[in-house]
Order: sequence, then C-alpha cells, then structure tokens
Amino acid sequence: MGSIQKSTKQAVEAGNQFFSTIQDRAHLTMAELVKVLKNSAKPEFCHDEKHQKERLVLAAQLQAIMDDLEHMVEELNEVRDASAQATDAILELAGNAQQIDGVPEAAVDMMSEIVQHCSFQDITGQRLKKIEKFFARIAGQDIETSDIRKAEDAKGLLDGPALSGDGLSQSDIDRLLNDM
Amino acid sequence: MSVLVVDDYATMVKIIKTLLQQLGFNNVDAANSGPQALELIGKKEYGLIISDWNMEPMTGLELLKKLRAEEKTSKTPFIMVTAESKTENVIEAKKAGVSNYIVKPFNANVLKEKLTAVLGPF
Repeated sequence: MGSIQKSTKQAVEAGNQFFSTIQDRAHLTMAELVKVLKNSAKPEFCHDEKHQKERLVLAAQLQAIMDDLEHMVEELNEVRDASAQATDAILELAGNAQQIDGVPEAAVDMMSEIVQHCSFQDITGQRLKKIEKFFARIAGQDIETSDIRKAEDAKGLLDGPALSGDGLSQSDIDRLLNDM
Repeated sequence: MSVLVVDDYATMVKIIKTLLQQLGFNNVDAANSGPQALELIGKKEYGLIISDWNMEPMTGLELLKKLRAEEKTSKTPFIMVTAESKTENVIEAKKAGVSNYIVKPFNANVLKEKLTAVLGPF
C-alpha cells in the first residue's frame, strides 16, 4: 500500500473513531456528562491546570442546569395538580347545579357542556407529563416504565396528544375503521 | 347494562361517567388501571368497556388483547377513548379487536354516536 493510501486510510479510521465518540457522548445524560467532565479534570487525565478548571466550571454549570430542570419538573407537577383540583371542583359544581329542582333546561345543557370541556385537563395533563418525562430523562433521573409500555413506545404508539394539525381527526378515524 | 370505564385520570373517569349517566347508563363502574379493570371484570359481567390507551403499567391496548384472548370477554364491546391519534394506533387497535375508537377531546354527541354504533339504538 502506497504512503498516500496508508495515510488516507489512517485519516478515515481516525475520523470514524472521532464520530463514534461523539455519538457515544450524544447518548449521555447530563448527569453522566457531569461525571465525565469531573473525571477528565483529574490530574491523571489532564495535566494542564487551565483546562482542569475549565472542565470543572463546565461540570458545575451543567449541574446547575440539572438542578433547575429538577425544579421545573416540580413546578410542572404543581401546575398539573392544581389544574386537576380546579377541574374536579368545576365538575362537581356543574354536576350539582344540574340536579337543582327547577333549573331551566338551557342551563342544564350549559352545565353538560362545561362537563365536556373539563376534558381539557386530561389533554393538558398528558402534555405536561410528556415535558416532565423529557426533563427527567435529560437530567438523568430514572423513569420506571413497564415492559408492555416500552414495547408499545418502541413502535411509536404512545406519543400522547398530537400537535394541532397533526394526528387523525375523529372523521379520519371513522373512515379508516370503515375501510379496514 | 353495566359499563366499565378504565382511565388513570380520575377527572376523565368522572367526565365519562357523567356523560354516560346523562345518556341513561346508570350502572357505571370505574377502574384506574388495566390490572384493576381485569379484577373487576373477573367478578362481574360488563356489557361495555370504555378504556383509555396510555396507562401504566398495562396499556389499554394490552387490556384489550387480554380480554379478547378470554372466551368470556372475547366479544364484549370495547371502545378505546384516547388522545393517541396516529394511523398506526387505529390499525393496531382494530387488529386487536377494538369495537370503536374515540379521539380525545370528544363531546357527548360523539360518545352517543359511537355507543349507538356499537350497542345499537338505546
């Protein structure tokens, strides 16, 4: 093998190794990245004091972001709980109001619509849960999931509510079921 | 007729129960998970099961598959009420034997329409 071919092969191999390292790092959670940075700042791995400090500062910055993410998850939990409590209270009041003797029929119908609109809490709750799980995952927190869910998740069957304009409408679903 | 509503969101269970009662279904039980639903179904016969899909630890799809595998519940009407609205979801549910599919959010008219399609006029 000629010297040009040899050096080209070495360059390709080095390039592949570099990219596979980047890919490995891309799958790390923030918690793992903090560990990697702290370890790589140790004198046995890094002789340059300036680089050691830079890595430790970066690790501390990442740790601070992780702490903020954990706090955000708690905030989202609070939002979800408060909205569930308020929705339950509205549901109960609407249900009770419907049963009052002599309530005009129009008012009963309105109460029924209020009950239906309360389903917003289910959809927003699922969206918030999705965000919470994302934050928890990148912060490196363990998320317990059953094998059944993992299998369906892998097939892309558990995405939660679709964004506006995405996903099938009820009439699309009806057509699809009829065609099958 | 006894109806079983399965959903891990207590609020959603209340909404569906309320709507069912308004439609004249007064015998409605609720389960907050697949395993709890199976326990109730083991003790009582239901004429209709309305279930969410996205639940822990057992999903609504898994619950449907388990019910279809049992002779006692192989033909029990099962309506999936879920926010999952991809083509793959509907196809998987149909393959598993779902009787009808309602996408959230829905209104009382959609629920009534699907109940009529599954049970006949009531």
